Amino acid sequence: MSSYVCFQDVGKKYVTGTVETQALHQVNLTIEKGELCVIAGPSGAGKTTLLNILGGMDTLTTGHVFLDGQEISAMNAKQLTLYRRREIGFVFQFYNLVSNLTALENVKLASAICPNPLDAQKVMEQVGLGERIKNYPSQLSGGEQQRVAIARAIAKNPKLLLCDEPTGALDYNTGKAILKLLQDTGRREGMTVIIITHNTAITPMADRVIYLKNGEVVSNEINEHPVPVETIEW
Amino acid sequence: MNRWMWKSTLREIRASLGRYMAILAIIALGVGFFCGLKVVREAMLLTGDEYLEKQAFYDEQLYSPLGFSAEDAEAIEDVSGVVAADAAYSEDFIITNQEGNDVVMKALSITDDVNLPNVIAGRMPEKANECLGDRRYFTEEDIGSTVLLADTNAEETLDAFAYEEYTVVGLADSPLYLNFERGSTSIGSGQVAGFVLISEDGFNKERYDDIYVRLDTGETAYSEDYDEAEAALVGGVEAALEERVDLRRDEILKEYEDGIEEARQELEDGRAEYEKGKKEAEQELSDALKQITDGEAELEEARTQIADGEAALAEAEAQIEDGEAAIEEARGPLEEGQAQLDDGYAQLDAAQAELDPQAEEVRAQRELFDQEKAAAYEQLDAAEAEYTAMYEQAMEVLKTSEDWEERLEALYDLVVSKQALEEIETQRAQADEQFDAAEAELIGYETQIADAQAEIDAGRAELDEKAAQLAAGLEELEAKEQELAAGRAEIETRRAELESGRQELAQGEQELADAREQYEEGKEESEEKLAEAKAKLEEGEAEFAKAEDDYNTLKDELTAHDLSYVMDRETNTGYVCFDNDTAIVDGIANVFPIFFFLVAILVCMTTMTRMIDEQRTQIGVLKALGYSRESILSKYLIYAGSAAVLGSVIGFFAGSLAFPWVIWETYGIMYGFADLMFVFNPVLALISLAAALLCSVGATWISGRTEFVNVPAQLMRPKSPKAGKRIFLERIPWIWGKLSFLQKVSVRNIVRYKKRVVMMIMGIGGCTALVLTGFGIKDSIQNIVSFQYDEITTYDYSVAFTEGMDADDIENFDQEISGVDGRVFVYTGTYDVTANGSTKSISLIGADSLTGFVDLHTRAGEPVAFPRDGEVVLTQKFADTLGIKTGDTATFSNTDSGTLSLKVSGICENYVYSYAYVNLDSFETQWGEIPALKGAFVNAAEGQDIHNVGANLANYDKTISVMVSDDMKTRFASMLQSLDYVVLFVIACAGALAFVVLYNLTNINITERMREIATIKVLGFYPKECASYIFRENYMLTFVSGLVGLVLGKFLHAFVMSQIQIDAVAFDVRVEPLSYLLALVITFVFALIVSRAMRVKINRINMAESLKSIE
Repeated sequence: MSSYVCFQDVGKKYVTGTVETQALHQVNLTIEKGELCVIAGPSGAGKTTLLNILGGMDTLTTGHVFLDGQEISAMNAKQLTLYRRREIGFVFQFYNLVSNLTALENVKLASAICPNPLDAQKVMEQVGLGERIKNYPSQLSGGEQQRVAIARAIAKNPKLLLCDEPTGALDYNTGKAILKLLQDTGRREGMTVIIITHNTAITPMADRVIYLKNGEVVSNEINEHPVPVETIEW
Repeated sequence: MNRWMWKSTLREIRASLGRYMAILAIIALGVGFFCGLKVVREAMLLTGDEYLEKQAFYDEQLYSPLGFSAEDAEAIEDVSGVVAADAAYSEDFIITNQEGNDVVMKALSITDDVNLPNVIAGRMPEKANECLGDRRYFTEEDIGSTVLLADTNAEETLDAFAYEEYTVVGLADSPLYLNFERGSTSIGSGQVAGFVLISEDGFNKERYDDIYVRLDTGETAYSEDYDEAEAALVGGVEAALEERVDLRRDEILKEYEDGIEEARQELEDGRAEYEKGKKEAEQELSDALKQITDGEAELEEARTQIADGEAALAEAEAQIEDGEAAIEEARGPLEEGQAQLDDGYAQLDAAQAELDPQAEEVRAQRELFDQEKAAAYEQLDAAEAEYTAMYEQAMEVLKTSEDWEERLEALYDLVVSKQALEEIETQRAQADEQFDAAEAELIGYETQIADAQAEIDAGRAELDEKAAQLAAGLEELEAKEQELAAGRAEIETRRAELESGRQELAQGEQELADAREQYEEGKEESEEKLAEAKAKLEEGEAEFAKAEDDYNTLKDELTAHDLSYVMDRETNTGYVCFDNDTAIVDGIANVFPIFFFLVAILVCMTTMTRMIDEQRTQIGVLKALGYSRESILSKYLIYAGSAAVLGSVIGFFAGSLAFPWVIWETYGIMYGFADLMFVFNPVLALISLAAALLCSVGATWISGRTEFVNVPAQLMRPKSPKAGKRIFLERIPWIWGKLSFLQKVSVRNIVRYKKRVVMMIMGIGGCTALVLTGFGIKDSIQNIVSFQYDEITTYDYSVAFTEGMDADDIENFDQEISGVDGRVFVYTGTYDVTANGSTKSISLIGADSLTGFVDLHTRAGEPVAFPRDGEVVLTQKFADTLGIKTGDTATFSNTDSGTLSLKVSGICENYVYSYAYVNLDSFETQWGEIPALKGAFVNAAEGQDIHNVGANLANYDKTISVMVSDDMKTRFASMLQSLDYVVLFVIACAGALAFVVLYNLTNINITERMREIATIKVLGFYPKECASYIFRENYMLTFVSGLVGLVLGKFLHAFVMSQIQIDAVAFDVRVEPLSYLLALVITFVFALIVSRAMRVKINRINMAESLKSIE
């Protein structure tokens, strides 16, 4: 129970019309504070569902989810909003930047609603875009856009940084650079980072690797010796 | 287009019902607005036409100051093209209403074929003293009550009616009065309050006032065809009327001529009579004079005769006296002889007396002797008769009987009787002897007496002879005396005669004196009479000359002036107003729908662009699958087109029903003579359908066209996001810097989609403009009443009097009326002014000053000086309508009073009716006199009850009517209140417009930015923040659009006001600041309502949306 993130017998069932989909079955897992955790698994394994539940964007059907002692699964919609607002940073696969806001403004969009945000400008510098803050998303490359997205997520100074396939829409090198940014940021800020990916090749960089398959946790292992992203090839 | 595509299209509609409905709604709104407003006039005119046709409204009203006869109407009816021509009476009269005020009513006769009354309650009059009441003046409770002609009516007005009161038996409206206006009149207050319809017998007029003609036009009222048909037929009527009127004029002139001829004849007769009378009088006088002189001569003669008579009488008297003396003389010896005679008679009488007893004794002896002698013989005769009978019987028996006994006895008797008889004979002889001796003695005595008697008688005879001689002498004497007496009597008679003659003479003299006096008098009198007759004759001559003059004047007048007037329907106020009022709606109909169509185009365009954008992948796939461009496009065309068709149909019917209905209900206060007839105009339907299809399909095609040129591969890739751009506002740091971060975001977003901004500004701005127009109409109207009665005509009462008020009347008025603070007596009259080719009538008010009663100022509030001699101040609308400016000279003419030519010295603010203010000096200068002041403006003193003072004024004996400004204010206010409905209606339409636009825009915004919203939700935005993230843009745009709309609204309002023309009222075209504010607020309220509704949609957006890949 002392774990930072804790899933207890979490089940999730989607009902669309007459079709029932059991996305998660009896998921139990724990993630410790400050860890960089990679959740891997094939398409349809329930990775995104798990992330949605942890991110407060979706509710579960059975079980309990805790973050830092708070039971997320017991929160109502309003509490969940507050939870997302305060505790969670989210990095999307398709960046989801607001297209008519500049890079800096996109970061400010998030920090504007937080009680104790990080300085947007500084964060931008940290993600290596100190020069591009006035550019619009359409003027940025994919990698740069994802950096802006990461900056937007970490500027909120969240307890948990959730990344959904952050490299999915990026080429190899850019993807690598993004992963490195995430790893570095986590280390530097002591932030718990959870990355969802179907690419198992990146697991060596994680402190903890969780495999999901058909809505069940196949393994939950701690990687005693995570390696820097640069050294990983896939 | 295969089955799959149809299915896909239908599914598409079902899936995006909101969007589909938005297109449908805006099209329905646009079409409804267009068709509805456009059809209003048609529907109203149709209703009007139907009503006019049903009530047989006239086509021509014929009028002549000479009046008409029934034959005139018949003659007009014979004109070709005339369906019916009815002559009618009309007469204005005053009644006293329940409040005790005198109001003027117009009585019209009921005609059989034209202008039929529409009875809405009660029944038609059956008797001559029954009437139908104006339904706008009378209520159903009035049925059964009576309309009583007030005493204040002029004599000729009272004479025009057959009765003094009429029973209201029903309520009706008349096609002559389509709207509420009842016109003006020359009597009473000058304003007709209502009409009553009476049968012809209820009037007592010699000639009809009007002829109403129905033509066989066969066209609907208010159409150009009607005008043409009417113009084609009216010529015949005009000619016929002129002919009839000429006839009448000639008749009148002839009558006049005859009259004059007669008068001339009469005058001449009079003159001749005068001459004759003069001669006669002179003759009479001379005759009388002659008689008097004759009488005098006669009198003289009579006087002579009397003197002669008197002389003769004296002579006769002397003769008589002589005769009397002679008689006296003769009487002496006669009297002596008489005495001797008397002695002789006395002696004779004594001798007689001695003789008479002796004679008596002798006579007695004789009588006794005669008796004894008779008795003795009788005895003897009786015995002789007895024995003779016995003897004869015995003889008989002897002769007959054989019986011896019997014969014996008879023999015995025979012997006895023979013896007795012989003895009797013896006795007789003895008696004879005795009696003869006694008789001889007696005769000796008797002879002695007779001798004595003879002696006496001889003496008496001698005496008698002497007496006779004496008597003859006396007789002679008496005869002579008698003669004398007779002569004396005659003398008396004569004297009496003479006396009466004398009296007669005196009388004659008196008579003559009288006659002379009479003659003198008569002479004087007749002279006087003659003088009088002469004067009369001269008077008659003067009169005749005047009559001749009058005749000439009349003739001139009858020839110089038009006597026949043919007035078509355009002269009927109700008919024209109805046309104008419907035209107002039509005018508005030309502007408003343009908004809606423009907005509809924009809505369709943005919606369809968005839809095609959303589905570009699908389009790409379809294209890749080999569907033709047209077939793919057709899906969207069908989507938009079907919405347009459905919307058009719904809008067409809803609009055609709702708009005319609402407007008719609003106009019901002014018209409302029948139920509205709904019109569905196929042309409008086609036009609007075409426009709707053009809007929807056209817009779709334009938006689709650009997408479809792309190749499938390009289409299947996500559209590169539209590049963000720095906006102009960012270059103004002092504004940009003040905005919060999220506000900046909104501002950027606003500027990002130009099309939407235009649509928003059009739609929301249009909405604001409409609302502002609505409120503006209210502002422009609601103030005029308070401006008029609180700021311009500030007097409390306007009073009309029966006659002009001179100084004494005014003093009397001031004494009698209490509670009055001030009053001014004014002249009022209605005058025509012609300028720039058109003529309008105006109320002219003449006064010395109106300070304190009417405040003359311009609309800008600058005071306008009261006009001086020769000047006039006109009210704004009147001057504007006729194009008269300050400094111009205007001519005011009134056929009854005269003409005034005045220089316009100022133009003043005024809203209700039109007035020309004139100084009384101008009348004096131009007419030489001040006309009768029959009106007054009066103010109540502070703290007085308005209606109490009003009653005081009404009770004043010369008051005809009192108009209380407060009441007028209330009346106007309530009349104008009907426009509130229009305002409400406009606001409702504006709301609908705003709703559709906002809904559609927000809908697009939300669907388009679903991902963005999901993202910020993930970022932890509260629902409220999410909503405002979207809606802030709406509010900002609403604000901007509102501002634009306010500007637009001001122009729209000005335009609409220019389209609304009501003759009696000028509008104060203005929009209050509050209305601007309200228009904005209401627009925001609409925006808020839409936001509320759309918020649900935002809340429903799933955050997982943000994780999906970009389509």
